[in-house]
Amino acid sequence: MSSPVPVHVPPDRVVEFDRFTSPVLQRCPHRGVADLFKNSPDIFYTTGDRGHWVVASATLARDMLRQTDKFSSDPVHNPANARKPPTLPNQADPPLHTELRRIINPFFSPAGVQKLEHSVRQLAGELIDEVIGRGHCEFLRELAQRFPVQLFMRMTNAPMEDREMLVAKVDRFTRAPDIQQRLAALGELGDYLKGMIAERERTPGDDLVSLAIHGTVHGRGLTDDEKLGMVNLLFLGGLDTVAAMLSFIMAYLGQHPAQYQRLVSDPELIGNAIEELMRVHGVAGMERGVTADMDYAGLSFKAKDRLVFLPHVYGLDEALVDDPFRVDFDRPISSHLVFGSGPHRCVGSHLARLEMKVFIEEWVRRIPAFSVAAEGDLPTRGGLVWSPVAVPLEWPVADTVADPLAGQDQGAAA
Amino acid sequence: MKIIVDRQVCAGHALCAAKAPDVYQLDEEGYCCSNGATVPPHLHEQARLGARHCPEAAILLVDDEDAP
Repeated sequence: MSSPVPVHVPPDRVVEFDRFTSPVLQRCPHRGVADLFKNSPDIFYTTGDRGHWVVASATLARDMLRQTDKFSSDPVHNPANARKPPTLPNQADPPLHTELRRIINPFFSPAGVQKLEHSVRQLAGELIDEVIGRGHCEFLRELAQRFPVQLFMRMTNAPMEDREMLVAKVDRFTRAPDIQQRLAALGELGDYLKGMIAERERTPGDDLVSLAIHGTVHGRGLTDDEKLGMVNLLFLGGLDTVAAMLSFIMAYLGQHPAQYQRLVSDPELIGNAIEELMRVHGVAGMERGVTADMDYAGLSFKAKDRLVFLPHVYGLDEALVDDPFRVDFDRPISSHLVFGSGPHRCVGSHLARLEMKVFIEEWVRRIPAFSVAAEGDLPTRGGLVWSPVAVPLEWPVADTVADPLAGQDQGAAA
Repeated sequence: MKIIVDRQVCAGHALCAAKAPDVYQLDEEGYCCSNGATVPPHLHEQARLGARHCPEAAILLVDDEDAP
């Protein structure tokens, strides 16, 4: 949807790009958008999605995301991103943001998520074993939309039968090109979560929802809106992002058998490989509002200007990474902003890393070779979170090893 | 060698502790709490590795004679 170009935007800063509908998002979006960014001003303006700036430079993005006083997460400074219910703490600035994060930080810390490793590994193995004997699967729906999602449903003690309904609502919020449809999906999710919050207020458990709603900020309990905002963001983050990222990564490994063979022969490489594959397959973006008229990086912003960041491709910025399109599991550092930068760094980053590492370890143990069962580049979808449309995979069944740990002492690994 | 961590800048990526677990400690929330710690010589290389991985460049390593 096009909107007029504001008068303070220089004409040479206008670039056509819609983060929901641009054709470049429909196949190899990372390469396409990285190329677009390379050939565009560091910060450009688009009339797509109701009009906003796009920060195309990873270096500027990192600088701006740190300056929460100038570039705010609060919709007061970015009315186009107002949501009902809100999402928190990502739509708050410090100091409220800091206080809200404190409630959930210990759960999501590296030590916190380490406690989940055993159940993460068990579920990964179970789900792979369900499809392994037939020699093929549609990875996105059959594994990616189940593995992290079922783990999340367990963490929040949400009813497993609601999984598909919730995934569909989050998908609509994340990818419907029409803002009214997105907000409607968010409203429906909010109504569902209100019921869950009321239930956990009556009977608190040791689940993540109970933890989030019973926290305190500045010595007081959370308001109803804050409780809903916190739980809302947990579900938006928990139900979609890892599914999308893991699907991109598995599609890449299926299309690059020599790279995959390196992981089979040396599983110790998997951690580095995931970091490098995340670098080139970012999935989620964020936005900010300008708090006051100001000059920045050669531009004049007006208060309430809307800024969109696309960490999806910041890891492909030559200013951040040498030879960025070369995927190299031996890179000393895979620099990226996939989990954001600054105080709003994705709270689920450690859980996401653990889930993907464990999943690929379990896949490598069982399936020594696999490929993508489709010619050419896979169709993809844009939106707030990019994702493949489907990832058909196939493998020779004769070489696989279902449940390779059966009969061994699994406790030794825990 | 001494570790200086800018706690205003540390965003809890925790890559320091992942890459150099013998050097960097995390607090209960997962943020680096090794500000002011002294690194013994045999861990200097690991300390540098962890600092280089900090996406926020929040870690500074100073030689003992430069330490404040």
